[in-house]
Amino acid sequence: MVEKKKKILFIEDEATLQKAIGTFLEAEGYEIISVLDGEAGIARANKDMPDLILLDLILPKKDGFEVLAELKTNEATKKIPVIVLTNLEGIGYVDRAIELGATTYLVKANYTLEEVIQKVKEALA
Amino acid sequence: MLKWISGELNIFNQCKANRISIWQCPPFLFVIMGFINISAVLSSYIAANKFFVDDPMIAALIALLISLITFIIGYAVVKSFDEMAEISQMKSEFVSIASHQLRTPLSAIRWTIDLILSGKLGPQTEEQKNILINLQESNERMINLVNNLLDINRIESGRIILKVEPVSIVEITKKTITELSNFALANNIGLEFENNAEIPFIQGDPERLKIVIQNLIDNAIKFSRSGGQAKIKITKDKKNVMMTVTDQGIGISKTEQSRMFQKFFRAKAALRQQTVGSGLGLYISRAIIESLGGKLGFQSEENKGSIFWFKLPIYPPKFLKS
Ligand SMILES: Nc1ncnc2c1ncn2[C@@H]1O[C@H](COP(=O)(O)OP(=O)(O)O)[C@@H](O)[C@H]1O
Ligand SMILES: [Mg+2]
Repeated sequence: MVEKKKKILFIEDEATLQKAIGTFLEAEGYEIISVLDGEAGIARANKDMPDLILLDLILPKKDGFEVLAELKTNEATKKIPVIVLTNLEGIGYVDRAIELGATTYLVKANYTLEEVIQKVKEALA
Repeated sequence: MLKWISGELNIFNQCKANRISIWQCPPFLFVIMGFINISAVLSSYIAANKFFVDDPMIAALIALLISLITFIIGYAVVKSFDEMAEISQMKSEFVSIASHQLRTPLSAIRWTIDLILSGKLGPQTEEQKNILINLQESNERMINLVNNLLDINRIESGRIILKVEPVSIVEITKKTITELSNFALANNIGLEFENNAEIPFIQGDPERLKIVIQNLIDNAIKFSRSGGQAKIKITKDKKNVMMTVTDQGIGISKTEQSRMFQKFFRAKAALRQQTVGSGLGLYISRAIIESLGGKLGFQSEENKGSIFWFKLPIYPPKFLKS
């Protein structure tokens, strides 16, 4: 039997960035759902029940913190691991995201694509 | 004396640079206020003595009027301090927002190049690959510069350390050496790593510490001569973990040694070597180490080489508490 493809929901407003990670992960055999804002992110999380969510923090309509808070207080989506992937870096942000239930907090400018993919694989393992 | 005056004038320039009018510039207002105070005392004295000996009412009125004027000026001073504080706050917020926004497209470029180089979109010729690698290097330099500006901004607002957790200096150093090994190879510099003892963890911000270690090793490679050797060593004593980076490079002249930790400072010899850099690395590194309760310093001899070192307390109690 063929193993079911793992689903990753990617909430990110920078299309180029989304394309780079998305294409790489698809080539690695994952199914990618890409959305460009926070509200769409919450909707797709409930509808598609992904295995993992990649979440930016500065987002249109609903920011990443609000999305995280909603996902983690909703019974249905509570268990889905969330990796915060952002360029927002400052005192308190990391703590706040982790307190709200994020699995990991990655600053984009500090990681190569391979390192991000590695973190995704670890979170899905 | 001349120096003092020109120093004072510099404060006026600060107001000019911030586009604050002279009537809102605190140093100027202070001078005016002092002047009015002196004339107030003098004129009350003269008034009381000469003209209105028989009418203390008028002397009192003059005194009252003058107090009113000083009060108004005092109020203006306080207000303009507020304004200056606000401007500096705005400036730092601007830098912070601009840098975050800059980092997003820069990361997008980095990851897109990573994706193409990974071969997942199909193979490239050697030439195409080399072009992409060059592009990647330029992009990395921009990311570094933006990161540096962000760090400077954080230092100036006193928030350089973003988190404090147990950190293994040895692990960070090993990782950094691996990352810099290609750069060392390209410059024909040997990297040697030595740590004999069991090195305990320290309390720190791992990302900021990596910046320090990266910069010291990067400098040792950059400012060496082809064929040289850079030695990285980690030791400990009862209270501290200490790291030294020793090179046999161009060294630093006596006259320039005192300026090493200034923002943007790069020595003449370094400029002559045409190495890339911004002169921000040591300034940032020292600020990071000092914020963690440690010390960073160096010894150097021109044309012989340099030793850069830092030490950090093993269990800095003041950080454990907070
Ligand atoms: N190991 C070294 N040997 C000789 N000179 C050094 C060394 N490290 C730093 N310097 C001098 O100090 C300057 C500032 O260093 P740094 O702040 O790291 O800036 P950058 O690396 O961007 O030039 C360098 O430009 C160089 O002149
Ligand atoms: Mg440097």
